[in-house]
Amino acid sequence: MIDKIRAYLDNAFENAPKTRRMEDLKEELYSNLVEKYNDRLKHGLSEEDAYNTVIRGIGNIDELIDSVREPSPLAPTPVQETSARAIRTAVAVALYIMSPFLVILIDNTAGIGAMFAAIAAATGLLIYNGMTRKSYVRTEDTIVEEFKEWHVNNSRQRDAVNAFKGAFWSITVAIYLLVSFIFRIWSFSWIIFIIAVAIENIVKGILALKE
Amino acid sequence: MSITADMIRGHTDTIILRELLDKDSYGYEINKAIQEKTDNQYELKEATLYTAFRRLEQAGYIQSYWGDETTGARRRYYTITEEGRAQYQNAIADWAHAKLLIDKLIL
Repeated sequence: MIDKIRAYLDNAFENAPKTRRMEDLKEELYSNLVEKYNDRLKHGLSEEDAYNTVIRGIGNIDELIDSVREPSPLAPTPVQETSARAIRTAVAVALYIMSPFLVILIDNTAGIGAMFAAIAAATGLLIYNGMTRKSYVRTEDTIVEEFKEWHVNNSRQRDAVNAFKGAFWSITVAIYLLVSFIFRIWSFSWIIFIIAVAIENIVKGILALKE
Repeated sequence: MSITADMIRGHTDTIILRELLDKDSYGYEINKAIQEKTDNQYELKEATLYTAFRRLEQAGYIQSYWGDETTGARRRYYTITEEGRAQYQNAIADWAHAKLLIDKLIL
């Protein structure tokens, strides 16, 4: 008969979300119902009658399950925030593209300074975008939730990495143009790109090792 | 009897807080105490009882913890908080007031 109580609960909770709170409720109900059932037996009821009084005494179990159901997680990001994010990214990309031309437009050190300022601003924007991405707050204690949390944190990291990469390559292009213009070494200054690839991969390797 | 049951049901939260004033307890024990106090005339439905536990816990009036029974299923115990004690005092003050007014109105 105790098996029947378990079966009754399994059936009642079949469509309930598999959350920690729900499992706790089920476990709590089960232990209390079994104790009640055993008490009824002690008072001289037959197994059949004891089971029936216990089940009848539960009342509206669906209402109870509903009271433990949690509101749906992960509210979508507001549109406003998404578009602000897109604008920041667009501005950053524009700054990257324009930065080498600042050197050509403005003479001497002022041009170089302007270029690095533009790159710094663009990188700052991208990093800001990455850091302000909402970190995911787990609302339920399930594996799915854990995955979502991991996923969001992972893409935050990716945003930061992309920002640094963007800055790195802009600076490389800038140095290439600068050095080539100033020293007129177009014939072999392209080697800087190969060096840049090497540096990028070394950094990647170091980061991978750290993890 | 059913009107009486409806009236009592409105005080489920206070009844539970009252049972927890003296000592920590768990679902069936509380329900058993209610039955004994009322000479088997009243008993809470499990659905009502456990919904009330969740509601009281959410409000911060009670807290729960799992017992460490070595044999059989684990019990979930409830303990009353300071806020819960204050809420209990409010509830009985309300009740005393309501009783006074109802007596005046219907006796």
